Amino acid sequence: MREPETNHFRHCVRRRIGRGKHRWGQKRIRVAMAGNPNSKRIRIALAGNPNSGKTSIFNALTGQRQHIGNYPGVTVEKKSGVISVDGKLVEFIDLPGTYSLSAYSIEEVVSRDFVLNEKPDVIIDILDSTNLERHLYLLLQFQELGVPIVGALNMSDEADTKGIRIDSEQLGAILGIPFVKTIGSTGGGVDQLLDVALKVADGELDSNRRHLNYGKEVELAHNAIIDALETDVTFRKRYSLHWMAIKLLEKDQDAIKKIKKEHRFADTVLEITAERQKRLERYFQEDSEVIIGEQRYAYIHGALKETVSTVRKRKGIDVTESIDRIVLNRYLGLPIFMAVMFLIYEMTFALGNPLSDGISILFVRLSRIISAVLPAGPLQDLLTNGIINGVGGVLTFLPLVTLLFLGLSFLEDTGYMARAAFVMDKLFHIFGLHGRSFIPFMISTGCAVPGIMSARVLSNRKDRIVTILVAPLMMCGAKAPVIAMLVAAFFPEHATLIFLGIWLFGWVMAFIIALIFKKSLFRGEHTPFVMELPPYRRPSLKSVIIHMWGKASEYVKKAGTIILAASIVVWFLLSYPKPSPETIAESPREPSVVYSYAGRIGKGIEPVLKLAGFDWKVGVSLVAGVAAKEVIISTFGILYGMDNNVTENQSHVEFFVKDQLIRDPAYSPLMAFALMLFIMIYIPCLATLAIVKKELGSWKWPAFQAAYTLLVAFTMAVAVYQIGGLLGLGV
Amino acid sequence: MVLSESQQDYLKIVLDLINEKKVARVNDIARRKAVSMPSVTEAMRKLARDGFVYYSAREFVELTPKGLRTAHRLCSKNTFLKNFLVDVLDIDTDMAEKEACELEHHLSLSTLERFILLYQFLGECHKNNRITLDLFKKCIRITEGNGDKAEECQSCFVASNFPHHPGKNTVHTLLSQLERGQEARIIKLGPDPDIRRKIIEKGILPGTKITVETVGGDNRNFELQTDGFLVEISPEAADMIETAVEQKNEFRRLSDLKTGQKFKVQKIYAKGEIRRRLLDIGFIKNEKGKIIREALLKDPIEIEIKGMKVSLRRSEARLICVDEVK
Ligand SMILES: Nc1nc2c(ncn2[C@@H]2O[C@H](COP(=O)(O)OP(=O)(O)OP(=O)(O)O)[C@@H](O)[C@H]2O)c(=O)[nH]1
Ligand SMILES: [Mg+2]
Repeated sequence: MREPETNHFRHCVRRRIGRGKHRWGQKRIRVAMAGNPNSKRIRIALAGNPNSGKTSIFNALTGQRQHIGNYPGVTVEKKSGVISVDGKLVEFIDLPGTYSLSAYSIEEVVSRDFVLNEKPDVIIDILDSTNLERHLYLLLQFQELGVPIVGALNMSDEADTKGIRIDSEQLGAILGIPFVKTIGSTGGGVDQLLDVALKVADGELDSNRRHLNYGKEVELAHNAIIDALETDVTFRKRYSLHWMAIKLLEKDQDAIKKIKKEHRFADTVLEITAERQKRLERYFQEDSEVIIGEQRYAYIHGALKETVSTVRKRKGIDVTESIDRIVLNRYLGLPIFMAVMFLIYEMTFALGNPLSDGISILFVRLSRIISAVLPAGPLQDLLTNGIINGVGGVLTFLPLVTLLFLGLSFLEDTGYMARAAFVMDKLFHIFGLHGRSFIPFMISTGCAVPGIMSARVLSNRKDRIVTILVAPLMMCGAKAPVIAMLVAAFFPEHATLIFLGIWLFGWVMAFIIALIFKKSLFRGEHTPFVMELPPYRRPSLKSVIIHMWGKASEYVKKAGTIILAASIVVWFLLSYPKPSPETIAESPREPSVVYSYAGRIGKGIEPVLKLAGFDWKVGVSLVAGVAAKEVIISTFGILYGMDNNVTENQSHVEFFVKDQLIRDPAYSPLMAFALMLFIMIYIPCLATLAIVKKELGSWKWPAFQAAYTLLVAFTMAVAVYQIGGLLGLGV
Repeated sequence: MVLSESQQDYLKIVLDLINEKKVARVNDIARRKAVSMPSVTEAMRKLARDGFVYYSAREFVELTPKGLRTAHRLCSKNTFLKNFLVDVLDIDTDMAEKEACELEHHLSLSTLERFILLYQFLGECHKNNRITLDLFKKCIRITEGNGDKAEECQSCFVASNFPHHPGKNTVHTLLSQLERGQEARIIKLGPDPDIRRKIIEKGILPGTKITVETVGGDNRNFELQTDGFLVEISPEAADMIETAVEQKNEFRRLSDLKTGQKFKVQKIYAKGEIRRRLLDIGFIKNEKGKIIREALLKDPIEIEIKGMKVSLRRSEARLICVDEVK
């Protein structure tokens, strides 16, 4: 694969467009298209089983940086990238992995529909050379579609080390398809692959001249169905009848639907199909879809017998199995998993906290400079208290987010994620969730924003929505100081115990509410857990960094847009309208917040809040806390008349507020307890709501999330306060 | 088209031979019927002309679909009558065989039906100690009459309180409850006379052995195989037929196997998405696999199949039928 002319080819012939960011490529291409409308774009789809290395090859071909991970189902949307070869535009489309063309899950439907409806010029089927038997199964189905195919014998490095020798020429001759050996992770053989694919697209190279012969009986049935299908001329033009007939025999729901909708003589076709199916099933004493599957595998088996030989190089140990023996051990599995998660968590916070502190000091400095440079007034106030406080507050978490994702991408690339799902599935399944939900849950105990982003590991949309909806109920880095302060103020004797209790409360609530959602709003079949456990692989630094970088930049982008807007709004609510000079003269001790919109809202809702024992000050802090949970403390500080320009030292503020709270006669331990429960559950911070919108694509979800959390939180707080009051606890 | 007695006999012999030896040769037929070869040839020509058999000189005799249908009906009738004579009238087997052959040519459908009813009645109702002719007649009256159809005789016919007489290894169920490929013996035909007559006409009589070919439902007919002949019956009829099923040692479910055990896939009971997934991932008949390990609470389990490690929930593994492999 490492021929000398390869590099030459790369330099001289090909001019890459869109090296770097995906959008770039798109933009440039649009320009190119406008300038030269005659240039015909060749479209090449990258398809194959999950985890076969499609995205790796895609990245190598287009120079993009799409997410790669060592578990099935990383890619969930199709991604495209365009390059130019010899002045011709070539578009590559990276598809989610599928095991067959009878698609069930969303990402499989994406792939299937693309291949069926958009009819790419060439399909490159990325195959795992170490397990050709299974991977060729999909290739045969593509072959039936009648689209030109090129087979990429990927992971050929792994096949070599395993001593698997593939005669690709011979295999190509048998199947009637050109094959190229590739190594996706290093880009080896990719140039040759492109070369062959383009030749196939131009018709220089033959591909796909052969159909698998299913044996006399099946072929008879198949031909009869094709005859029936041929009666509709328009239908004949639209679909490959050969393929359609096989799908009908396989009882494919989608094919049946298509016939019913689009074929003029649907009834006859289906009748003939049913009759033929019956005959076959009688003959083979087996369901027709099983018969076809068996025939395909038998064919593959035959083809591989002639072309693949395994030479045992040396009796090496099966690394994956040896690791799994420990990592997935019945009793060790869970503790090891916990330890791994704890380690990542520890690493994140140990390394991240100093960095975060550094960033927050930077922002304080900045705000000092602004205060010094700009004259006091609304603008200065907006910049320092509004924007820097808000955006800065979110950016302080950047190191944490980045480090967390560094750890997680590392795990993803090794192949441990699939194992984690295996270990955790039972527990999560009890609550109607999938084992993979553990990842977003765990991350959310650090910060819900990256937690929600990581919910992408869930392929089923319902599972994903439920997980995203409940993930913010966890204790997070911003809630922790608030809760810790309240605990210290009101429960000094049992501080640790109460804090841990509240921490657990978050988890329990998340599980319970997930179960309720699963049983009510998101009812439906459980997604099958059938999941491949890929072999462990050495993570490549490149892809880990790429992934981490992607997440971090997403996070920064968010801070620059939605958080910026939100902080301005919150700042405005807290500072306007200003009290009139007379009122200041009347009661100079009252902080000006009292007269602001936020203050008025607080006062306005006080009667309702009283049910839970909260007064208006709590109300204002809670309203402000929607921006970010840690703001609750500083708002308390402001309300108690603390000068908010000395807020550099966070612990100082906490101490001050704690002191004030203890002294305030309006607050009892019972009310504090209700307040803690409320803070744990109520409306997630704006950053979280914004990311929920981004991930689920509609404002409907964050709105619903805000509403239900508020409702649950308030009900809980009222119940605790009222019942506690009746029982005379902690009043 | 009325067949003579001897023609009917020929048809039956041909069917018997086909079932026994796969082919019916003229000399075998002659031996069995104890006649000379030429007369067989002659008779076959005639039958061929009427469209019951395929026959050209010196070759095997094959039944046409029409011939198969007729022969099958004759045979099942014959078997039933033989059972009746032996079981009810206590006639010895040889005699019964001979008599049944004679009887069957002369019985009209309605008389045959009465025989069947009597057979059922005597076979099942004696436990009530009410075996009187009166009761028997009443029983017939009730099911023939249109009014309170079968209310009283419910338990004598097809009833819901199965099993009546579960044998050592048999379970009684309605035919409609059988799965595809299951073999069963017909026990009773239900109370509705119209449907019952149709069932009898199709050669489904008490004692007949059947294999379910297609499970019907809604508007789809059930298809049963008896002696290589295919019979369709309506879903309503299937609801009125009680059958006895031999309980075989079923295949084991994948979920019942222990860690380290090897297996061979037999069948997948799952439906919809899970079925497709399992088939796609390689759970094809006769595929070999191995259970590698199970998680803490024995769920999920890890399996190696087609060179790949797969994890499955136990509830999913339960839907896979396997054979243990040593
Ligand atoms: N050793 C080796 N590893 C490879 C090769 N190609 C890809 N990989 C690794 O295989 C894993 C899966 O690669 P991806 O490119 O994410 O696979 P995919 O087909 O896009 O997967 P899905 O999007 O989940 O369908 C990653 O860990 C890659 O680093 C290869 O040729 N050799
Ligand atoms: Mg991918």
